[in-house]
Amino acid sequence: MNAIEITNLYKNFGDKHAVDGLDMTVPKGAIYGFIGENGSGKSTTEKCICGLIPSTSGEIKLFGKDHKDGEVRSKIGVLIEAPGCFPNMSVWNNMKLQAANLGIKNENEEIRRVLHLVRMDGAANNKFKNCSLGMRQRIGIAFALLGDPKLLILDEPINGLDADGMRIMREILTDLTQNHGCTVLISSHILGELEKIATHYGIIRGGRMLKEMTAQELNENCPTYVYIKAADMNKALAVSEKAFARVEFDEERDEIRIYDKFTAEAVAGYLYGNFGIAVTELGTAKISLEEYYIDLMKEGK
Amino acid sequence: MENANVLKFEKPGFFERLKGMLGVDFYRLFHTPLFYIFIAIAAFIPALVSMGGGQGESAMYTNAWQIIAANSPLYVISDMGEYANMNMVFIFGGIMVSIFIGHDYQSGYVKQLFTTHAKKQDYMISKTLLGAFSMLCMCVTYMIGGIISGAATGLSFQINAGALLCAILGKMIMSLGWASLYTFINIIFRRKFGISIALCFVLGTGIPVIGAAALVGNSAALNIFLYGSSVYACLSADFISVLVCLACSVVWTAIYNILGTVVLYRRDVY
Repeated sequence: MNAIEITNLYKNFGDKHAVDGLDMTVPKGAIYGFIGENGSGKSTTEKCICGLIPSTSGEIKLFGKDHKDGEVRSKIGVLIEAPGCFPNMSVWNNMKLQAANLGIKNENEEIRRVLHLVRMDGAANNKFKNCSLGMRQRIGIAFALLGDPKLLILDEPINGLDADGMRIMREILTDLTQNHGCTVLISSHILGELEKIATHYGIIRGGRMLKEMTAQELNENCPTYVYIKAADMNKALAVSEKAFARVEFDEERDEIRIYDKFTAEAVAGYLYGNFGIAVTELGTAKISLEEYYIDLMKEGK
Repeated sequence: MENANVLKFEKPGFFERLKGMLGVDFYRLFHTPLFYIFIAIAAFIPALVSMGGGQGESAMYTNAWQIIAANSPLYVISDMGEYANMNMVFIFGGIMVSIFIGHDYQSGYVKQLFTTHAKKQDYMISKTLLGAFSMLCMCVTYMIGGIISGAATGLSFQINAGALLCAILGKMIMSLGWASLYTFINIIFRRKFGISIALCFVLGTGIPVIGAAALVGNSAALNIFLYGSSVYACLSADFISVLVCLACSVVWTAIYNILGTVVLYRRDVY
């Protein structure tokens, strides 16, 4: 059984298809990185899943049940944009209200638990309006975690978080999926962070799913390469193109990328030994999710 | 990782859901200065009206209980004394419900609420009950304010106790219908706070019914409207008047709750 299964989802705003026949599958226990440009339909899809906006057509199933089903909705934690808190109330009281809405019995204990999880124990008595952006994001996560949800839907949760906040977020999400059977759907533009935790990816463009893949498949699509800089770049490029399987010139970084089985040292030795080309900089790197995503977007255009 | 087959979810029942939502709404109500400001205003208004109503033959009221309800159900306004009574509570109630629901949307509370198991009809019911309770409280403070100002201005307190009781009961029952109307208006214009307040004010003052009365006269048919029944609960009221108020209030509450629920289901929460 999948945590989320979306089939042929449409959401129209007037004549515009914000979501245009989207199919999506989030396996249970996954951390699903949902990626797309601004206006690609990520948030709209998430809002449809959460029941905040009705879809025009299509089917959304959560754990095999209709997404509007009260049973399944009681176990969903959501953070979309900002947490819905009353600014003049304390963080604790805001959480008590949400706990009451969720029908949580031992609410004090539960609130303490989730605030501790997001390292916000000390902020409980702060008025929400006095909390910084980073604190608000963490409190939003704590809101979403109330009641031990089995599915977390997080829209840009790491925006505004400092390095420590991002690390904590990684730890929490990894722990939830690995030890508590939780599934996480997370959208973010900070792809470097997403790459560290996601087990599955969905790339959306123009309201349609462009590609869905596992982290392993992404790994296979993102090969390791040797990058070099040489005194005579033109000559180095010409020689490399003849000698190696796949060669690219990265204009932005002014470096030659060689995709082959050879090590960086072997490449440098070959260029200097056979052609007298002095390599001034070399190393090994891997195509990142961000680069893969940008390439994919370029291909599509 | 848990096996998919053993993953079980609880289905909270209607009363459990409503209990949670009402708990939240009443907690907020009792912790917002707005509520206390409005019940204080409701207490203060009778004093202002009765003291500014002139003396002797030109006096707006000759009997203290006229501050609570008019002598007879007059839909066409002939004098301010017939108009300015406990029905004003429904105007304050409209403004209060608008601010309360406006705050729900502005803070993102509604968004947070509807991502849980909360159902749209629960929201309508909860807000209706909350609004009705607020107006009931205002009715009580208005009554206290009316009695004190009546005594202070030396008005007569002679009355048929049964009729007075029926009038007060009728007006209190109408709180429910008014609250459902205001909740519905605020659901429709949830993104346009100003329109919600203005519309609640216009309907609360009874202008449309007063306008209709100017055309059709002092017809009992106007009792099918919330304002009509509210006026019908007057100092010549009897048990039938209470039943009319009850029927009108309950029917309109059901209609507005159903309509509001449909709107909430069909439109975006944002």
